[in-house]
Amino acid sequence: MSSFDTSNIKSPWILHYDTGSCNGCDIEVLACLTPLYDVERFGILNVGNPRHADILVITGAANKRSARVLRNLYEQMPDPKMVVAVGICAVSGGVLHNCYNVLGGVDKVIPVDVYVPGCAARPEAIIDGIVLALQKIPEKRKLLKSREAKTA
Amino acid sequence: MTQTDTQPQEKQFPVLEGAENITIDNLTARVKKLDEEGYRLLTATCLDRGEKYEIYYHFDKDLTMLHLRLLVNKEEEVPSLSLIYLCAFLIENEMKELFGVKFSGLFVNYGGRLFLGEDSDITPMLKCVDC
Amino acid sequence: MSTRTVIPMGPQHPVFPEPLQLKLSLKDEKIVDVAPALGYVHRGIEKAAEKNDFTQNVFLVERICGICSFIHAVCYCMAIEDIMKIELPPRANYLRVIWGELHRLHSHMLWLGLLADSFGFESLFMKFWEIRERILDILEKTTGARVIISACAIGGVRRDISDEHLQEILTVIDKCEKELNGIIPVVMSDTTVKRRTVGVGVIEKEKAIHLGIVGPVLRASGIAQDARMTGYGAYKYLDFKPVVEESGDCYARAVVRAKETYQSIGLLRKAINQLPSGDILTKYKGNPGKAAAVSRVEQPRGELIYYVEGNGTKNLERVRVRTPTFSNVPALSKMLPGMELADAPVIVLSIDPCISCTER
Ligand code: SF4
Repeated sequence: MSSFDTSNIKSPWILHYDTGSCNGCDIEVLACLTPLYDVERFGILNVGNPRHADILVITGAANKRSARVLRNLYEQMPDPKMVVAVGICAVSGGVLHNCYNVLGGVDKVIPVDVYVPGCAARPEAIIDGIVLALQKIPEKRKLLKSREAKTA
Repeated sequence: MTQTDTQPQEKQFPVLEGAENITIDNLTARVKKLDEEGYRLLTATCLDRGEKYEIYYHFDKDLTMLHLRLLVNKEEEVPSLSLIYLCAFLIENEMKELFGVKFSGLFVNYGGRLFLGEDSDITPMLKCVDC
Repeated sequence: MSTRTVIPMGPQHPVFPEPLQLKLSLKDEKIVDVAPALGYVHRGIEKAAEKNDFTQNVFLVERICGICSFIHAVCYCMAIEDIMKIELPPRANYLRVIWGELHRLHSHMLWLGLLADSFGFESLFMKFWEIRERILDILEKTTGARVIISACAIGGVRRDISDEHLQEILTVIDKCEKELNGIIPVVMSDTTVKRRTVGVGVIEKEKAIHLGIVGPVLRASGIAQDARMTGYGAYKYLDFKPVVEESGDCYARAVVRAKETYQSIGLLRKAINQLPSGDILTKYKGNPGKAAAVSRVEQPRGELIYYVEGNGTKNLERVRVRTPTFSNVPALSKMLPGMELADAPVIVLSIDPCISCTER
């Protein structure tokens, strides 16, 4: 395993994007970074640039306008793009399911690896979700490699 | 809280208590006057009344609210208040987009794409006739 | 002009927790024009509120905004109670004030933290958020949820707060006050903070009304306007006085919010000491009749207005929500021009934008 392969497991960088959430899950994601939960002790760092990010944390149900931005961000991320959907909105639309501008869960737009339900999802649950995403990285990398081999 | 309106075609709709009726012609003059008296424009509420739009303008001065009630036909143009109260441009753009109300003299015009994406259905807030 | 460049700021921007886009026109480093572009969080809650049962809407309107969710529910319930002529038991009114002020407290701390973050004062940010967690702990203890507490119901509140918990609230806010005493002076008097905020993004008193601004932004421009002055709920018994500052810049806005955190602590103490005993929920029958009502309350970000119209069925004819940030966004077009690009994040943050409220 190269150092590149281990580094994004040991110190994953996350990018947070809000596709139409009520802020409840947003602030819980932010709360994860602050002293009480302090995910930085696991090497998890919040970054603003999608090209640096290993994990995309999404809060909120997707709407038509944010879906475009989301796809954009997803494409800019390097492989293996791990996606964590936080909050019941991002999972399925939740309480907002019958709003006219809501497409539903974010998995209608991009593939999702980990779902963290809850309204709002608790910081502990969010951290759990991120850790689960980390555990799935080797698996996903293998999958991507085999796919690459096939196309080649 | 309310009295029922006597005009036949709007019989089934309630009227906000204490609302003052205005028309398209005297709207600007009335609002100018309120502005001079020091009222704040709080917001406007648009309602779909079948053939017409009913628009309430809510004002406030020293913690008392004042409501203006405007009934317009759907094709008619409503004069924009954004030259009197700058903040009206956002409220009016929203009404234009979600209800399809036509405004004349909008200060900043989002062209009916303030909230919705380019490929969304327009005027989603109108009452759906067949559902 | 040939030297003008347009820079889109957002929707994904490190300083904003939420997707707001500003199209800034620059001449060299100076901002000359700004156009806000919205729509990244628009969901259509007003329409969904017409489709739902009116009791379900309490939960829906709470999800307009996750920071002041309880206050949204209070405002909606007040409008429905007005239409259906429901009298609240006095204890319920007080409990609404207690939860409402707890929300204001944590929201202001959140904002003070974000302000510190926007000019790179990371440790101050962390400190504010650490104290904020204590308030969330109380919310969790009293209702079972940290953020969206769903404690408000039509006719009162859903849960009571036990005496033990009331005592605990008092000790926690005492502790918070002590800790805030240690860091709020930093916001108010530190030179690095002052350099970034004094004289930045000024709104004069005369312009304030035409820009439609509300809440702490309006009070920072020297206008004493606060919906709590109308004395809704139990505020009429609490002898409420608004916090007002004169200079109208980002610094004044920070000071207003800092003082309001202390004010909220004071209001909480008073409300807990005066809390009457008794019922917490009035039972009601039937559906809202054919009537309309307007209600308004004060959110951490300013004045919130609901227009609710019933039609005699369990569905409502119309629910209109005017949120404070919706009124404050036009002011950005007056605050930003003439400022340096580097100041833009601080100025935008100074109105405490809540985009999910704005777009609903
Ligand atoms: S899941 Fe709940 S708290 Fe999270 S964004 Fe959705 S409505 Fe808000």
